Amino acid sequence: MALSSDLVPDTSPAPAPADRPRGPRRPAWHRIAAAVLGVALAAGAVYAQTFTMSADQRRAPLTFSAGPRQDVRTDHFSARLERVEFARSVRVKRTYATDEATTDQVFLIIKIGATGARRPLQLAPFLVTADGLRFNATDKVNPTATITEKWVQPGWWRSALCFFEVPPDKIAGARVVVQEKVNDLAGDQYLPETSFDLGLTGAQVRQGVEGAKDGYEVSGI
Amino acid sequence: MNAQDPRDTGVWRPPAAEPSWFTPAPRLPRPDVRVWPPPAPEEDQRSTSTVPMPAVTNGSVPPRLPWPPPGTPPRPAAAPAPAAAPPPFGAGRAEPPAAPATRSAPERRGMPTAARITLQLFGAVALSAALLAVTGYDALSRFEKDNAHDVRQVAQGQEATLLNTRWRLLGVKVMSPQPENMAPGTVSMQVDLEGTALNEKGVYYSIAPPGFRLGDGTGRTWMALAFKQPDQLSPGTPGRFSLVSSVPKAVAGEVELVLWPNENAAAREIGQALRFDR
Repeated sequence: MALSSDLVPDTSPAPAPADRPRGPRRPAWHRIAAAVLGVALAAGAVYAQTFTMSADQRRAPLTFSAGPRQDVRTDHFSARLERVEFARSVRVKRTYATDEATTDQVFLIIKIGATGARRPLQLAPFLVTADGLRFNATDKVNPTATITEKWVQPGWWRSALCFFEVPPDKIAGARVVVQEKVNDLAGDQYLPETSFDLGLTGAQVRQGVEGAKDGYEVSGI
Repeated sequence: MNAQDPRDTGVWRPPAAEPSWFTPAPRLPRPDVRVWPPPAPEEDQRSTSTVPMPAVTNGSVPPRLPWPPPGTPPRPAAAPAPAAAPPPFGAGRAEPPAAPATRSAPERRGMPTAARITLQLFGAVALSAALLAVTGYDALSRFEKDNAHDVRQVAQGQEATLLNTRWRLLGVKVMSPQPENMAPGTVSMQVDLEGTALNEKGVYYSIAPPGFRLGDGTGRTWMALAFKQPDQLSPGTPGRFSLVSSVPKAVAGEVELVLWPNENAAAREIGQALRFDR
């Protein structure tokens, strides 16, 4: 074959294809059924997208839930809810001074026990009410008296308090979530957390708030 | 500088003396060129293009070769018409394009429907699994890259350098007397450590002490805090750090000091670290 015939395309018109004998046409109901099936499959694929997790859900920590006085074991730490109390004011006794924290609402005092699995860590609990409000631990109480400053280490349990300043009508049905204290910008973002139902009904909360005493004493180094 | 200087480009030259309007330009005058009306195209106008195009000159065009070249078998007039009903939908996709054949190939039968559906299902499952696997592997490798650590083991009594400071372990011992209010089952350890700054960058460990941990053989670690540390480090002068730590009694004899460059690296266990044999 000559080279020039490769470079120069054959411009002569190709022979016209002969009329192919077409097969028998599909019946109309067949085509309609195929169209309906196609539309149904496409709609199903679109609907299945509503089951995907949102970005917040995908970033959410793995939560281990439990009730009061139940040990919860995660890969990073184990925790348990030990005691729930109410107080009108909190007195933090330190070496050379005593801090008094008062509130118009009520202090919800939660005692949490925890132990580490592999490495020492610090915990940062927060409170989630039944209607989804989130309360961080109050800053009126010196953090040296709370669990956020204590090191939780593998091998033994350590109990410490955390203080929440909450309106009394929000407490019923609340739960406390214990998370590892991390840097938000760096580090592992996929951390486990434990969630404890406080198990308080409205009547128990009312009784507890009425019986709340002044001057809850706690030692902060 | 005269006109024959080859380095003189004529773009700029400093005035030799008093600048004058009749200072002769160093450029050679170009001959006049007719630009309008455009000159008639020359008979043999050669292109200045650098693209290697074949020069086609009038009168020397090679004669067109006949197509198809003689000797090749004649092209079939048309595609062979299907003998029977067209194959089911999609059945013919896997077949290679029909090559121009001199004689009509035997009719290929489509894959059975059950085999085809099985193959499609298998392909869908395999592709989904491959997608999940690649995504997971990507996330895992990224996590491992972000959390990579390099812990060097230091032999007993040896020194090792970590970030501009040379460290030497002086001793790990059970603290005596034991402090009060120890948690049951735990014991207090005292660790003595000597650090020598190698240069000006190493003197900040007295202000921001490194992350101290005690680790056992199974990978568990415990906090160690410096209760005595040098007020000031200067290059070449050793400074002594005394650490205290609480560990379970069972591992008091085996815990080793792990030294991270800072507290953040110790908490996340990333970066370089030293681990001292006892």
